[in-house]
Amino acid sequence: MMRIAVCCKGVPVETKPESVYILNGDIYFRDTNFYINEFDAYALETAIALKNSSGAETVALTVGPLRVQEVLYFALAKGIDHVLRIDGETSFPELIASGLISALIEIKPQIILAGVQSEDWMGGEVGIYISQALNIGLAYAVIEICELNDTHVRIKKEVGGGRKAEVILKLPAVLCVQSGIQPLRYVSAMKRQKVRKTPIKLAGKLNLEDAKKSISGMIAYMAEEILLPSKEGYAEMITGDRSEKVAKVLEIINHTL
Amino acid sequence: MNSLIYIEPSEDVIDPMTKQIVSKIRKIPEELRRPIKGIVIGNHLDGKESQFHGLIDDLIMVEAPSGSESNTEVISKILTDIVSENSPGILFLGFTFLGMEVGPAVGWRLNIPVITNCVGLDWIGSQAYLKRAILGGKLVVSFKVDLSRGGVISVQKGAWKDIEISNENRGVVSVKRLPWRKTWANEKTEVVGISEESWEGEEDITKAELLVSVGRGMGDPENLPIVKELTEKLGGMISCSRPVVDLGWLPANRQVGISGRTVSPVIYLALGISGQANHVAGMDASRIIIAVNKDPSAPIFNVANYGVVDDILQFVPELLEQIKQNS
Repeated sequence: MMRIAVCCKGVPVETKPESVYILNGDIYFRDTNFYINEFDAYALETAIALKNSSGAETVALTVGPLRVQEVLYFALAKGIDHVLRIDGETSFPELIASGLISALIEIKPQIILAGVQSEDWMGGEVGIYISQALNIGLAYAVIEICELNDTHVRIKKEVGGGRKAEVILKLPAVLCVQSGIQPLRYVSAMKRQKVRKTPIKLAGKLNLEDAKKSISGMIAYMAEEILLPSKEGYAEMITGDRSEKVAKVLEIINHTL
Repeated sequence: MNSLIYIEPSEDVIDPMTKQIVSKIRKIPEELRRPIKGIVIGNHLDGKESQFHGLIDDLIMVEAPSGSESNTEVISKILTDIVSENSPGILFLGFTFLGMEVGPAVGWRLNIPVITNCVGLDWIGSQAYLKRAILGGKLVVSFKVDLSRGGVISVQKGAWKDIEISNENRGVVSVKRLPWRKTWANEKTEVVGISEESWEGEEDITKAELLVSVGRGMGDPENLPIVKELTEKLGGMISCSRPVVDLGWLPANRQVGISGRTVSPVIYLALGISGQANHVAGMDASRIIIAVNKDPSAPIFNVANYGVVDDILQFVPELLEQIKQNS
């Protein structure tokens, strides 16, 4: 039976400067709840669609502390068959990938899905690192899975400027899916409540020191400071009551055109 | 260390990202950066090498069989070898779809640091400090990075200013042709076609003088008619950010950003758009950007000329009302 793994990430609700801090060069979040990275929610939907069309078995996995289990309950409520948590906490994508790779080697999926980026880190490196570590094919910004059989998957992906590439990949492969690839289905509160009785399997611990040693060349950077974006080039803010603000905007438009 | 820039195929002769990256590399202490080398894969710049005079020092032109220059597996292998053979080297790329995929792959293969979506690069002595945006662009993190063994840096479009090439002292670019190697051939992926959306017969948002662009802040597709009415009254066209297309509220031909169209109207009125880098990359060349968003920390205010903190669902009806009163 085909097996599909989905890499999910819990991202913080709070985006205020005081909810972010640096410890030992890594970035952490405090006083916040976590929810599933929206791009990974699309990866979950893609896995469910493939499960429905090909009868594949689905597994969702995440790296994080106990509090990110919410992400896995969400995956179960969506209809994912199995969920795994790798215990550990880091913001560095290389280290998150290292944690996932060990579990993925055990799971042996034919397709590994991930979102195209995470809302907190604003990058999409994890899926790419997994493909390189496992030496398997990769497609990034996938917008459609056209055909899937036991040996290959044919997909369409964005290449920028409204252009799309159609690519055939040998399996196993990593597909980093773009938002909008599937509609996001609503999950009822009752369904979410029901799955909370399911025990979440712990699939090991991410030992940060060991992981750092194995990719020491990559971890040659450390966070130093959290800053607000530069105010250079910041907008001239239009203030006043609503009527005054609207009048000013109209004046700018009429004066410019 | 060597400074290497992957030059993506572009509608312009020189990918605009290349000029932005060169402007920043020039600020690296000269004893650290050595010559600036551009890397071109495929023959799309054949005969146009002189365009690089005064911009970069060396141009590495890689011969690639037709079709393979668009295969990211192949591009990753080629760039890995070139960076390795120019070690220690820093590979700079745009934070484009291609750069997002290829950059981390090269970094992992060479076990060198990768900083994606970079918005700042500073040097204190021989120490590099790079900045990248996090949390939707609401915050920026400064990283101390050891680039002594090389590194990969993908740069957010528009984060750095273009360089002006002076006609005086234009250095002559040295061209090196790199023959195709069998080890670069694709093994796991095959590109079977590249297609471009046809917008023929549809309203072309790239031609608009005024764009009224909506984001997820619109809240509900039921609010679309009033935005369309506003657009009509202002004599513009309607456009949107990616989530609006993902949610099926507007068709893909209305999307602005790296996934959609690149626009440069006289006025870009951004309503309920947060200002993610992927969107800004498609509209930052607009002459006047007016942003309305109820979140005062929305990154759109970092690129807008004028900003209004307000709920667009209250602001747009008032705007329509005043237009009607004035007409």
